[in-house]
Amino acid sequence: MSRQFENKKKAAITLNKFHSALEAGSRQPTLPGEPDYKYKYNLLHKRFRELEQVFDFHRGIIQTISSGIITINSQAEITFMNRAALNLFNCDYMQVQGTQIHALFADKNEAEILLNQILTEQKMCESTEVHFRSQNGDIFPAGLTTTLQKQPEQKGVSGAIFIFRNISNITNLRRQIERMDRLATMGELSAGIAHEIRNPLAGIKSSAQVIEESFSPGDFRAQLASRIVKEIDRSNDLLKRFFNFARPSRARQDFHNIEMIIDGVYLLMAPRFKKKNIEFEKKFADALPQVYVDESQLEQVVLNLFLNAVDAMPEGGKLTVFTGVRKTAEKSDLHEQEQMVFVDIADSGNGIPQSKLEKIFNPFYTTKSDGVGLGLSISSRLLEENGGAITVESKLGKGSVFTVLLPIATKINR
Amino acid sequence: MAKRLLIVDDEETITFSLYQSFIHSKKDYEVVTASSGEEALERIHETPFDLVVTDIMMPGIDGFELLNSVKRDYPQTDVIIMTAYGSSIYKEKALKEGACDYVEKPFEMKEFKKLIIDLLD
Ligand SMILES: Nc1ncnc2c1ncn2[C@@H]1O[C@H](COP(=O)(O)OP(=O)(O)O)[C@@H](O)[C@H]1O
Ligand SMILES: [Mg+2]
Repeated sequence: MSRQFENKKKAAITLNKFHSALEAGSRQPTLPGEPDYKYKYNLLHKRFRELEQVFDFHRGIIQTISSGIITINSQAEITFMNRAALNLFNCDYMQVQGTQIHALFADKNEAEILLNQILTEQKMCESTEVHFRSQNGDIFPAGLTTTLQKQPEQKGVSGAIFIFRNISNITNLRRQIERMDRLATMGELSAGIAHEIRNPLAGIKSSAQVIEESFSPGDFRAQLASRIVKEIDRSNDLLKRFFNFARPSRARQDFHNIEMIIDGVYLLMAPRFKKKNIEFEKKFADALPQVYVDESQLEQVVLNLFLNAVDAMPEGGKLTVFTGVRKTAEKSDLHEQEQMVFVDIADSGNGIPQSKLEKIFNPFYTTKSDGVGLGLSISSRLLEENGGAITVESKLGKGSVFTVLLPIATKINR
Repeated sequence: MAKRLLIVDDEETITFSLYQSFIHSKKDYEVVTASSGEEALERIHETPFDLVVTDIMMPGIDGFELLNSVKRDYPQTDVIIMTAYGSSIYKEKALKEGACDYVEKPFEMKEFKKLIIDLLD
């Protein structure tokens, strides 16, 4: 498209020169029939001007629109990218012009299938979710709609237009909701299982106790029965602990200084940091407002995150804790508050692969030989109870940043 | 007249063990068991009880419905609710609706029996 445009522009310039030359020539005595010739050129030139304006108008729309637009020819080579597209991909048009669009996709196979559908089967995409990869390697989800370009006389496709938007915000929100859903289901499921197990346990226990009662205390049969009872109690304790995870006790929220909580956990962890060669740094914002949270639950969250950070840096490294106030996205977001206190816990550890980012909050997801995989799911659950949230960003081999968002005390009118 | 105790649970191991425990004790209670809310109401309509011990989760008429109809028709009868739910989410509800106690399963037979005996004697 832009090349066509360039050609037209060149033509207009040539015409302009031609016209000036004619204009200059017109001062000379004219031959018969010449004024007519000149008039036609004038008209043609005017038309070109108009055309140019229409072009500029359309070009303006295409360049300023916030959706990314890319056009390709029938060989899937890029023939145009608008400004939004160039920004999203963080690239220069000259770099990608004429190259195959496949390179912009995160997954080459996915691209192959998609382009085959479009160019060969002539199927169009309508708000399809795809994953693009920008020049600096970041992968982002996009909602993609495509349109086919056909030449009136020809049978095949002459090209296609890709229109898309970066939907990572929507995706993040959706993930958060899904995670909460999963935890809720998990809670219900485990409550159900606990109930189902506890009933037979109760039956076994009371039966064993009846047997125990019917023998004198020294009798070996009474002793055996009492062992049954002990084992039942042990199983029940286990069940209780699991159940507590599924349904954490109601948060006892109060006004707290988040820095005090972090410092408290740090004191606990300091010997371990030292042993593991981990440098600890705090970058706390000045005059941070108080947060409205359950202190011990928050301690548990921070401890979990510190422990994970230590595990992620077996060779030592740096752990930095930032605090501050952050505007939460929109009102329509999951959180009512417009401002929240944030705690960023950043490590220089081995990072988390992009594909695992949503998995790590799942109960029992662990990559450690001695891991349980409940740390993050419990933390996420606890924060939810406290009106907060947790998110993560990570670069493989570089490190991870876990962000905890907490409700500000003054915003709560209770 | 001997005190009458009704034990209601769809888990028959529970009703059976409680029953055994009482008939082998020195107390001469009249102990009856039922494995559903419906059966419990039938027994109660035949002859009222002094105390009903019931589970919550039962198919058909559940423990709470049983509690409500007992409290409505036989206000003299005491009711103890027992449940295998791990949290005390139902405790408040049970006490508010007139149960005189709430016991979590698995229970300690000795304590549970003491609770029942204290209520009946
Ligand atoms: N700071 C981190 N850096 C790298 N990976 C992490 C980090 N925190 C958590 N993870 C990943 O998330 C998984 C789940 O963490 P968690 O729920 O705390 O359970 P666990 O620590 O028992 O494995 C870990 O096994 C690890 O793979
Ligand atoms: Mg952990």
